[in-house]
Amino acid sequence: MKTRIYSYGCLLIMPIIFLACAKRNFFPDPDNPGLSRLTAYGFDVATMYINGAPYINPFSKLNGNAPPTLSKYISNGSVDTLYLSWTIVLNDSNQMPNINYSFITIAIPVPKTFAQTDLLNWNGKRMDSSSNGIQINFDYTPRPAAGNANLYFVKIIVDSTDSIKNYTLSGLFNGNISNSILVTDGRFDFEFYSNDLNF
Amino acid sequence: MKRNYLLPILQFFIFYSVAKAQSYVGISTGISRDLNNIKESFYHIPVSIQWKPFGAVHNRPVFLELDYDIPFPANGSDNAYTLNSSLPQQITLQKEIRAYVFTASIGFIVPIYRNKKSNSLYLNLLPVGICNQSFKVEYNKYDKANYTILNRDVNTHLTSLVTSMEAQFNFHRKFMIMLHLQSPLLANRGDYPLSYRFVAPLQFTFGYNFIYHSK
Repeated sequence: MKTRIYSYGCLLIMPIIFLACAKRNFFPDPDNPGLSRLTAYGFDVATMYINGAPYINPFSKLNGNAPPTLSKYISNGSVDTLYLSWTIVLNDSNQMPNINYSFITIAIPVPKTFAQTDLLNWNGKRMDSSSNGIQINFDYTPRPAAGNANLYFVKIIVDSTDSIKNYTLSGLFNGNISNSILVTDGRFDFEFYSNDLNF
Repeated sequence: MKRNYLLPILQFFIFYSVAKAQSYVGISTGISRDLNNIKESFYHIPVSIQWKPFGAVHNRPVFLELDYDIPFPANGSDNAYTLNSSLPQQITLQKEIRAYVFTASIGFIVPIYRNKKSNSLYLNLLPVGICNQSFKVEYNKYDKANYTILNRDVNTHLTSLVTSMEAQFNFHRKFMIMLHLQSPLLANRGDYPLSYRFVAPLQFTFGYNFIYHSK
C-alpha cells in the first residue's frame, strides 16, 4: 500500500518538477562560438570573450538565467555611478582557464538627477571608454581589477502598459584592463522591472 | 531515416501494381507561393512526380507523390551595430532567405468528373506526408569582425509531417494541370523568434502523365 502511494506521489510530482524547470535562453551566435546572439527579447543573457574564452551568466533549472542588477550608487562627488553587473561562468566545458572570472560590472557615470526616464534616452547611445569604467572580479581575490569599457545600448524597450514598467536593455560592450585582460565581443539582453530599480 | 519509412511503402506499391490496370507517372512543374509567411512570402518552382500504380480505379485509388520546391530567394533586412567609433554605429544589412522544401506523400484519389474525351477532374487527398524544410539565410556584405546583427535570422533544418490536397484536371488523360495546397510542418519551430515561418506552398503546376502499363 505504501509503495503504491509512493508511486502515485512520484507520478504526480514529476510533471510538476518538469513544468517548474526553467528554459535556458541561450541561442548560439553562428559567427562567434560560445557567445549568444545579440537579441532584444529580454532573455536575461550576457556573453563575452575574456582573453578569448567565452563567458556567460550562469543558468540553473530552478531559477533560469542568473539575472543582472542595475543600481545607482550615490556618491559625495558631483556625479553618481550606475552599475550594471552580473555573475559569469566559463561557457566552454572543453576549456580550463588559469583564472576563473566570476563577476563583471560596467560602471557608468550619471548626473545626480538620473532617473528611469533618462535611461530610456540611452536607446541607441554609444558610450566610449573615456566615460566608462569596466570592472571584473576574480575568484579568491578581494580586490577587483578595473579598466576602461566601451558600451552601446543598442535597444532599450519599455513596456508601460502596466503600473510596473518592464525595461528590456540590449547592447554591446568590450573592455581593456591594463592590457592584460581583454573583454571582447560582449553582448547582453536583460530585462528589468521598474520597482527593482533604485532610481 | 527517411529511406526506412519509404522502402516498405515502395515495396507495397511495386508488388500490387504488377499486372493491374493503367499505371501513370505524372511529372509537372509550375509556380508556387507560400501562404504561411505573410510579410515575406516564399516563391518556388515546384517539381512534382506522381506515381499512380493503379490509375484511378475505384478499389485501389492510392498513389505516391514526391514534391521538390526550388526556391527563389526572399529578401529582407536587419540592423547591425558596432562599438568601433571609426565606423557608423548602425547599418542595415540585406538578407536573402532560401527555403528548400522536399515532400514525400501518400494519397488517394477521389474522382469528381469524367467525360467521353477522357477529360477528368480528380480531388487528390494526401493525408500524410513527410516533409523536409531547410532555410538558408545569407547576409550580404556582412562585416563579421566589426558588426553584430540584432535579432538575426539563422539557418534551420527540420523534418516533420504535413498534410495536403490537390485538384487535378487531366486533358485527354495525358496532359494535366494541378492546384496543390500543403500545410506547414506539424512541428515546433523552437523558442528563438525567427522572421520566417514554415512554408505552406500553394502550387499551380502543369505536366504530363506517362502511361507505362495498360490493360
